[in-house]
Amino acid sequence: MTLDPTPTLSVRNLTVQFALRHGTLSAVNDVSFDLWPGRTLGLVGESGSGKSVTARALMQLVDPPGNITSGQILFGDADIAKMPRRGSEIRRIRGAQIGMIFQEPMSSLSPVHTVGSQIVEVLRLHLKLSREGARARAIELMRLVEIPDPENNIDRYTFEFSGGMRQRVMIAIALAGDPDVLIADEPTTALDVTTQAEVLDLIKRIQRERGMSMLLITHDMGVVAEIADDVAVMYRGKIVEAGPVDQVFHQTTHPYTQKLLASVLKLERAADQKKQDPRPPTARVILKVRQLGKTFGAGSDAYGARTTQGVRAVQNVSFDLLEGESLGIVGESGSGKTTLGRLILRVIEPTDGTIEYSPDTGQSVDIRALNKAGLRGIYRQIRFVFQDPFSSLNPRMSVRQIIGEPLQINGIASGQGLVSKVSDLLEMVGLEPAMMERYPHAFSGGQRQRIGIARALALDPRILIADEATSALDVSVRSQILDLLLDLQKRLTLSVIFISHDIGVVRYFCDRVAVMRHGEIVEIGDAQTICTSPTHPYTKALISAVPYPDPRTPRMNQRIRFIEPQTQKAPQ
Amino acid sequence: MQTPPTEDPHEMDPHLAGAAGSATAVASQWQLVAWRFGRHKLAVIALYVIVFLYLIGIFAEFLAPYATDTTRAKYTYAPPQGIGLIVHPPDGGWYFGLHSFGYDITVDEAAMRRSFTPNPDKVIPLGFFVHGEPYRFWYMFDSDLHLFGPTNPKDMVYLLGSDRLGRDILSRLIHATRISMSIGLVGVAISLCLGIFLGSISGFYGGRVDTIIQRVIEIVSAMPTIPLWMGLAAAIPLGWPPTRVYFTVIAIVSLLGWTSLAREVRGRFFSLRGEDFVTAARLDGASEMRIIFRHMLPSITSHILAMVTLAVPAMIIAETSLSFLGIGLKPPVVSWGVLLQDAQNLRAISNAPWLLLFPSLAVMLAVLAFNFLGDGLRDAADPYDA
Repeated sequence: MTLDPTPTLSVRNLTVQFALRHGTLSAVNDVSFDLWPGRTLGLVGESGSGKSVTARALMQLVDPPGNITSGQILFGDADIAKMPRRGSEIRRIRGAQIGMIFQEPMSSLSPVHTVGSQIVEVLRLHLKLSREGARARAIELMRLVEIPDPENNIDRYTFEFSGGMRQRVMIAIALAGDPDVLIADEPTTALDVTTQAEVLDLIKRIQRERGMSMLLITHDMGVVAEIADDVAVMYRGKIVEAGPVDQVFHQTTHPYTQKLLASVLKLERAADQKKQDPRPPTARVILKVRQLGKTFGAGSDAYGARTTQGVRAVQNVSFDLLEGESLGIVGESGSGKTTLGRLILRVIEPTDGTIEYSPDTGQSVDIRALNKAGLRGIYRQIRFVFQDPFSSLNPRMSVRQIIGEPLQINGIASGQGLVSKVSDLLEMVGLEPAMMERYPHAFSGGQRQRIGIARALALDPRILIADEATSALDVSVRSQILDLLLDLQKRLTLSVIFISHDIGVVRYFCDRVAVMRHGEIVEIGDAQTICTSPTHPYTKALISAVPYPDPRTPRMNQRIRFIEPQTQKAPQ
Repeated sequence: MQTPPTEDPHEMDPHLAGAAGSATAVASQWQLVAWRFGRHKLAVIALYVIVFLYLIGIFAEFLAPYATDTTRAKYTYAPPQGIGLIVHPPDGGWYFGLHSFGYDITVDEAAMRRSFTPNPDKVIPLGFFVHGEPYRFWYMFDSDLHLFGPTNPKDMVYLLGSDRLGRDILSRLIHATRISMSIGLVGVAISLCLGIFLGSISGFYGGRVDTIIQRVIEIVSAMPTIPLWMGLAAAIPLGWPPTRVYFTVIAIVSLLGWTSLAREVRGRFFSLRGEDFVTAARLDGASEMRIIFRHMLPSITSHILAMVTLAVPAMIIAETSLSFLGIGLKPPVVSWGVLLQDAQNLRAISNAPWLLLFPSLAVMLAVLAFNFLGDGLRDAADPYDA
């Protein structure tokens, strides 16, 4: 591709500040970059690095208390940084010359208007088309973003579309004004990995065809490697490294980028610990799950007769968990993996099947047959680590109270004994015991997750169920938490059920993997085998859709698409 | 340890990052609420006003120059008297001294009214901590000390005017503050207990229990309250003392008034029930009572406090309007509503507007202060919201 000598949009020394209670926070600090026609700039960074604020600043969308305090955003002969936030100048640019795709398609689209009317609105506003002309153009745009049957789908509402289709509608709206620049802020983060691959393909294709400049904001190094031509790495409001994608990935200069890439690449293979220390082949079965099922909302009328079929969230799930192993459960959203985790502890009451728990001492018990008191006994042996480290810790209790709660309830420790037990646990998960009087709001996401793990370990459990325990964390923190879990698992001979949507995490952490789809396990087996040579076509499609963080080996080009069997075609 | 906590500080909440390790880190819920509340200037002022009103209520006998039933037939509808600082005695010269002027009274026989003109020669010396009418404070201490009043107990001074029996409006207003500000609290307390109990059960268990409680709430809130009040007021035995009558009525009305509180508590419990930390408590083996009282209720106590604060002015208004209509408190009990009832006739409004003015101002002040305080509390109630 020949480079146009002038960039479409150039940002020079942009600084965005937020006035806070104590002082000002520079969310974006002296940032400069160019967007070239026909090229994609990937802006990567972890949460809080200021990448989204940068994107919003380009459209003058930073809300108070945020403010562009200095710098230029040169677009054509205009400087967007100087335009008033609510002026007509910027409104002529927004949506017309610069289009934007947001992360969350459900909240960015209006639920009370048809998708067609939302596209038509942009067309009529910026291109001054007639009603009929705009409608015809909207259908054309929907065809462009590969929405099937656009003539009929144009009159549908957002909630009738799946996540991927909604994001296509967002793209159609962003393209409606025929923009020169497209800003995509985490366009696929809310989507499943297979849908993400489809949408990224589409964005890339359209951007190439139209010769647009694109700014792609993401936290995912894999997505950058697959899509971007140039990369800028943001860290604490500054661009620490920028250059062509191959250079940034292979001749990394800045230590932060090196660290970031190292933690990303670390999750592309199994943990070193796993290789050195393979699990004993003849371990005892500690948890035996057979034909487990859950049907939601199978209603019955006033006379007890069954009226509705209900939704089968989980059906016919059987697996064994061996002592000391970690079993990964992967699947896309709606596959029933989270429900499965909660069924085992009867947080959600199962409707079918058996869960047999065999402790090293004593009798096997069927968890489904237990009464409340028996179940409390099981809660001491099988513990849970939650996904969201923010909502799983009671903000009104100090760390000592949070970790001490299970100890106190089960009468294990109290008073001074409790304090010393809690400090032992904090040390075990790598936190300062002196922090125990603090409240959760004083901790970062990774530290909170450590507190959650300490709470789970307080009762010396035999089994840990970790439900997406690392998915709310940044990639560098993620591998630290996984290493912590690996270390603890080995020291305490824990069995772990690790539920995740992230293949990388599962491959890194687990010995065996079960792949779930539509509430069923489609494939179960050794983690390395599943991740490198899966047999089930769905697993193949899933694995091949994961973006690989190396621009030299793009994986998505060789992607395998999973075609639904005709009998149970899911609605798009 | 293999994995020291090396997470980057930038990952922390930017609003708290600077403060981590300092006071914020170990601040409990109530400290955070107090800090947030402190930034709400209007609410803080309202809080002072409310504390001031309750102090007036508590020390009413001491603060009021006279008792509520001290009548002087001579001084009917006397207008408010001014206070002067410098006295010019008739024999020339001057000296400092807090004083008011006594009234010259002329009776207009045809109009059946008296007219009052201040006479600069009748100086009534005033002072602080004066001995006046004896009273029994809090049913315990006998005293005759008043914060403020004429130094000679035989003199009469009406700083806010007098009513049709020559009673001092200021004294009556101070005594009314006690009744009006406290009587609403009783009603709110009853509503609160019922509302929290039924609301939390409804929200925690859901399902059939919830359906039944919600239907009960709907039936209760469909009842018309004013006719019910009037009916009840008529049904109560005549021999009862007026305060007991009023407590009975307010108790029965708050038995109908708990519904909105119960709904709010239920809504909070509903959303809390899905929080991970509640599931975590369950998986810690906590009993249902422990989950409700140790994990869930503390999360909504500040909300409840705000709800209560906003419910009190409604009760004050209810008391005032019912007493005004003559079906709430009745004389000899003094409340703001009773005082306003005295201002019901045209003659009072044309001849003695202070009868209407000062009690109304008191009601407005109290209601506004409670509303501002409630708003401030509601905004500060959840310090963990971004």
